[in-house]
Amino acid sequence: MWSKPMSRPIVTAVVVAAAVVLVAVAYYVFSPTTTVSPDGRPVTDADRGERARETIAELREQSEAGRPNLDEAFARAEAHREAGELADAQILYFFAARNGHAQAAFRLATSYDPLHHDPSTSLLDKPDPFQAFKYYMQALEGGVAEAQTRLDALREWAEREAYANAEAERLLLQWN
Amino acid sequence: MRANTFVNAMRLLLAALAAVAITAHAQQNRPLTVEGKRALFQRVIAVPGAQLLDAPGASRAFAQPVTPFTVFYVYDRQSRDGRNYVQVGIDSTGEIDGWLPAEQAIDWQQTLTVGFKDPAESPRVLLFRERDALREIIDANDAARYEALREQALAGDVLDSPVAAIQPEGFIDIRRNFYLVPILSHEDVLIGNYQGRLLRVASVPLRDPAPEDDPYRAGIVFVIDTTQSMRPYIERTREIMRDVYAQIEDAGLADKVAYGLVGFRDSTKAVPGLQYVSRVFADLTGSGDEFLRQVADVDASNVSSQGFNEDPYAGVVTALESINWSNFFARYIILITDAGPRLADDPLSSTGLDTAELAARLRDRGIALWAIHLKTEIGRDDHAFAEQEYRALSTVPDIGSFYYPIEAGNVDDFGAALSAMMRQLTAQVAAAAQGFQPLQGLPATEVADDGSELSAFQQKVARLGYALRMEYLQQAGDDGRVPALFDAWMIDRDFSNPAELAIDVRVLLTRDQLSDLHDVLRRVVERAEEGAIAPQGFLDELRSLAAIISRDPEAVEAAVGGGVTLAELGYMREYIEGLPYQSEVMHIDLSDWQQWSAQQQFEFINRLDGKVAYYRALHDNVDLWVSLDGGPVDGDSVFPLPLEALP
Repeated sequence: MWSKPMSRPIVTAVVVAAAVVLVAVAYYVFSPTTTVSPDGRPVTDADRGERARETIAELREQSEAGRPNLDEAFARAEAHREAGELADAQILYFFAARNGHAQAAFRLATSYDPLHHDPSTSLLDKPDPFQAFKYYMQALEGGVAEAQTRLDALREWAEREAYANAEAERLLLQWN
Repeated sequence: MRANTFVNAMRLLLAALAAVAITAHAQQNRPLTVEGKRALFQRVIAVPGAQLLDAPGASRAFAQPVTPFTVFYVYDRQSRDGRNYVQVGIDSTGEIDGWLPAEQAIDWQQTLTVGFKDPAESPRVLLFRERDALREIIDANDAARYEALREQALAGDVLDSPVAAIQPEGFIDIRRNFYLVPILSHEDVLIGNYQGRLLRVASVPLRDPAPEDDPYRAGIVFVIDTTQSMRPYIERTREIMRDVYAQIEDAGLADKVAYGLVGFRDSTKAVPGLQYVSRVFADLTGSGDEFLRQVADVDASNVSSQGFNEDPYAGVVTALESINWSNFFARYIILITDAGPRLADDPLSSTGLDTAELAARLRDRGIALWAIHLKTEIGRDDHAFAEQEYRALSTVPDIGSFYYPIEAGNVDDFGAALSAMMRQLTAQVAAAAQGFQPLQGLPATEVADDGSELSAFQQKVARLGYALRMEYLQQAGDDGRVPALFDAWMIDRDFSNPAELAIDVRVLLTRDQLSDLHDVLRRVVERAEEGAIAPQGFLDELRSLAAIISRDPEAVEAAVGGGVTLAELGYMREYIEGLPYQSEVMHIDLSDWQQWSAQQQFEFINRLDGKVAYYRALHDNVDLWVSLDGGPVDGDSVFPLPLEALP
C-alpha cells in the first residue's frame, strides 16, 4: 500500500532546506578559509600567504639539483608586492633570501630598516634593526653595493639611539 | 697480521678505559646541581671577611682570605662539630679552592643581581631594613611617604626611618664595571598599577664595620720538652714570652690572643723520677700576667730520661684534649724539643699514636702545629728520624711543612727563631683585628682626594671586591657595630615614574650557559623559518628537536597532545623557570601555527632570531665578560644579562 503523497508546501520546504544546506556546504568548501589567530584577529589565506607557499612548493618540485629557481621566486615576490599582497611577497622574498638571493635580501633589509620602513610595503608593523642589518650584510656579500651605504647609515642610527634604545645598543655589538 | 689486530684491539681498549676514567673523574668533580635541575649548578657568594679553609673545621691559621662577593660553584656540603661547611671552586671544571663555613657563603641559586641606573636619570633607590615597612607603602600605594623617606635619607636624617641605605650617588655602569648586588628572593607587587617586584638583596655598607672579636682570637699553646737538657731553652722561652706580652699589650691586642703551655717528659713507668709524662702549666683562659706566673713554675727535670727519644706526642695530645680551643679562631701549637718522638710501636709511648694519626687529629681540630727542633750534639744520631717525623707532623696540605731546625741547638738562634715566629703570629692577630681586608676596590675613606673628577667619582661610589657599597644610613647597633653585610628590601619601580623600571634585574650567566642558550635557540629558529615557508611539518619538527636536545624527556613526552609552547616542550626551561620574568615567546601556544598569519609567524621568528644574534655577539665580544678567577675569559666567565634579553 502506497502512502499518501506529501503535500506541495512540505515538498517546497524540503527542497529549499536542501538548497540552503548545499549552498552552505559549497560556500564552506570553496570560499577562502578564515580562522582566528592567537591574538583574536581573523586570518585569511591571503594573510597566511598561501599562494606564496604553493609557489614555493612548485619551485621546489621543479628545482634542478636541489636548487629552486630563485629569480622566479623574486619576480613573483615583486609582483605580489606591487599588488599589495604583502604576506605572499614577504614569504617569497624570505625564501629567496634564505637560499642566497641578494636582491631579495636587500628588499627584506629595506622593509626592516628603521630609516626606510614603510608600513604600506612592509608586512611587519614595526622596523627591526637587527633583521635589517642581517639582510643588508647578506645583500652586500651577494654583490649589492648599495647595502654598504645602508649599513653605514644604520650604524649611525644605532650609535645615535643606543643610549635610549636597547635594540640599537645591542645592534652595535654586531660591528664589534 | 693477527699481532697487529691484537695491538689495535688493545689500543682501543686502553682508549676506552681512559675515556671511562676521564668521564668518571669529571663526574666526581662536577658541582652540585640545584634541586630539581639537571644543568644548573649550585652557586654561593662569599661574604666580606670570608676565609677559605683546607678542610671542614681545618685550622684558620692557614685560611685564605677571599675577595668579597666572589661567586663560587658548590662541590660538597658537610657538617663538622655542629658547623656546616661548603666545598667550593671558582669554576665548574672540578678544581676545588677549599671550604667556606656555611655562614660565610650566601646561597645564590638564581644568580639574579641588581643593575642600578644613572641617578642623574632616575631617582636613587631606597633599601629598607624590613620587608613589612616597604610592603605597607606598596600596599597603600603611598608615593608621598616613599618620597618623604627619600628626602629624609638624602638629608642624612635617619631618625625613626625604616630605610637602611640608599643607592650610591655616583653611577657605575654594570656592563663596564662589574659589580654584584645579589637578589636573594623576589615577589610580585603592584607599584602604581604597574607590575613590579619586591626584592630582597644582600648589601655591603659604605662604612667599614668594627672588627668582630671572637672569630679572630688566636690561641697559641707551647708544648715544651721539660727534660733535663732543655733548661736553657725553657728559660729563653720565658724571656721571649715576657717581651711578646709587652708587645701585645702595647698594641691593644691582649684580648685577641691567649697563650698556654704544656710540659712533657717521658714515660714515668720507665723512669718514675720524671714525675709526669705531660702536664698543663697554663691553659688558654688566663691573662698575660697569669700565664707568666704559671710558666715560672716550669722547670726542667733533674733526672735523665731513658734513651734519647721522649714522648712529645703525649704533650701534643694533652694540649689537644685538656685545653678548650673552642673560643679561638686561629689555633696554634708550638712544639719545642731536642728529642725524637716515641711512635706507636714504642712500648714507652703513652699515646700509642703514629705521626700520621696525630697529624690527622690536629687537622680535625683545626690546629696548626709548628715544630722547633733543637738539633743538639748529644742527639746527633736521632736527628734524621726526628726531622722526618716532625716534618710530617707539621705539614699542612698544599702549603708545606712548618718545621724549624735549630742547628747545634744554639740557644741564641733558638731565641731569634722563636721571636720571629711570635712577631709573625702577633702581626697576623693584629691584621685580623683590623677586620676584613678589602682586596679589590677601596673604601671611600681611603681614596686620595686630589680634586680630580675621578677622585670625586670614587669618593661617591665605592666597592668592596665585587660588592657595590650602599650608603648605610642606620646608626650602629647596640653592640656599636655597623654590619659587614646586611639584607635589605627594595622595589624595581619608583613611585615617581612607575611606568619605567628604576633598576635592571639581571641574571648572571656564564659564557658556557649563553653558548648553550644560543645553540638551542638557533636550532628552534631554523625550524621556525622552514615552518614559515612550509608550516605543515613545523610542530613535529619542534617536538623531535625537543626530544633530541632535552635534558628533561619526560616533560617533552607530557607535552605531546597538549598545548605546545617552547616552555612546555622543555626548551631552555631551566634558564627561565622561577625567574621574576614572563618570557615573551616561551609561552606562546604554537599548536595552531598553521593558522597563524605570515606576519605573526615572522614576528615570532624575528624575536627569537634577534636574541640568537645578540647572544652570539655577546659571546664573541670578549671584553664584556668578567673572569671571576682573574684568568683569561673562558666558559666560566660571566655577564649580567638583563632578564628581558632572555628568550
